[in-house]
Amino acid sequence: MYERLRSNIEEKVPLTEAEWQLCKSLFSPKKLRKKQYFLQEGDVCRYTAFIEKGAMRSYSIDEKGNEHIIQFGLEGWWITDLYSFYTNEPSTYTIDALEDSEILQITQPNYEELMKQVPVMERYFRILLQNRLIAMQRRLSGNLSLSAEQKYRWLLQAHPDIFQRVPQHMIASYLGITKETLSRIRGRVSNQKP
Amino acid sequence: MSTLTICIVGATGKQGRNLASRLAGKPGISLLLADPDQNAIKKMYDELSGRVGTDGLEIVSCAREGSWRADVIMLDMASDEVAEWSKHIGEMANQKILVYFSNPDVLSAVEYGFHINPILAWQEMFPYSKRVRVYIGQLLSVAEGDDEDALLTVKDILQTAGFPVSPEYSEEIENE
Repeated sequence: MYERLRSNIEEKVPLTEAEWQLCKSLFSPKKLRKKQYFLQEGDVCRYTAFIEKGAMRSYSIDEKGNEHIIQFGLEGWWITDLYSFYTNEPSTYTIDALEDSEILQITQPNYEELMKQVPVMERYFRILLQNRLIAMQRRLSGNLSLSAEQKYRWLLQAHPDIFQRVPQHMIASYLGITKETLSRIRGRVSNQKP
Repeated sequence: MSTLTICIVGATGKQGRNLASRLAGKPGISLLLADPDQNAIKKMYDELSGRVGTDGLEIVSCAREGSWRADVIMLDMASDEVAEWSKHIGEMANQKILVYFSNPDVLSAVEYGFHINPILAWQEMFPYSKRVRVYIGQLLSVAEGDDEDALLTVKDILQTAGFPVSPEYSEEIENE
């Protein structure tokens, strides 16, 4: 249940057994059913979650009721609304499970406690935030400068597994294109394959 | 508002049944019912779902599964069974709200309940849970625990179930 989290941490920072036991004690294991909410828009995001198993997404809903996918999360990824988690302000995002999922969630006070008690975890979370920032920067510049097909190719190359597990209309939403456009691009790209 | 998932382990027990019956069908609450007696739990589920429908009401195959899915775990079981159950669900209760009941009906029985379920034993069995001790009486109920957020959540649940909660009474018990 905690194996993936442990290896994810130890890929980045070393942990003693005692530190790991303390770390583990501050997380809460939670199973989510497909479509079950982890966070609903308007609620304060109390947790940040590590996905042990399954797939999740975070999204916002515009005035017309259209969903805009901000992030997908698969095994070994973290998911939360950082703004709401850090500020205790109501979230503008919804996070739910795309598949039956198993997560390990930690509250903000426990997150702070963990970094206090196990200082090396501060480094771990800094690396995570660094990676998140880089990913967001890439996504932003991609949205501003890449064509729909370039964005599709980038996602396909960077996270091919997402295409196996996430419905096409959600991928289109993530890329900021219509599902019809996505379908045309997919047809074009697959025809170009040797 | 997000849905609060509550797993009642020993749902056919006196307190479990009482709470399940009053919480079933309430908005914002999803109930997971667990009990070793499969016939009794199925009968209870049929009664409840017949009254309030099946939305937010489910029988879980085992207490571990229910506890894994829950935000709040309520244990209605004999005190001598708790240690055994804790082996199955202890890890799943990490950092979650864990509610246990003291003997209801009369005040003296509360003390008896505390005696046979000493707080230290609960701490040992569920060291990383937010433990809340609940007494449900005829006229009012009492919830006690160290974690303020957990306590507030449990008081909300009790009030949703129609049990008036009195913190003052709780203090009276402490002072006795």
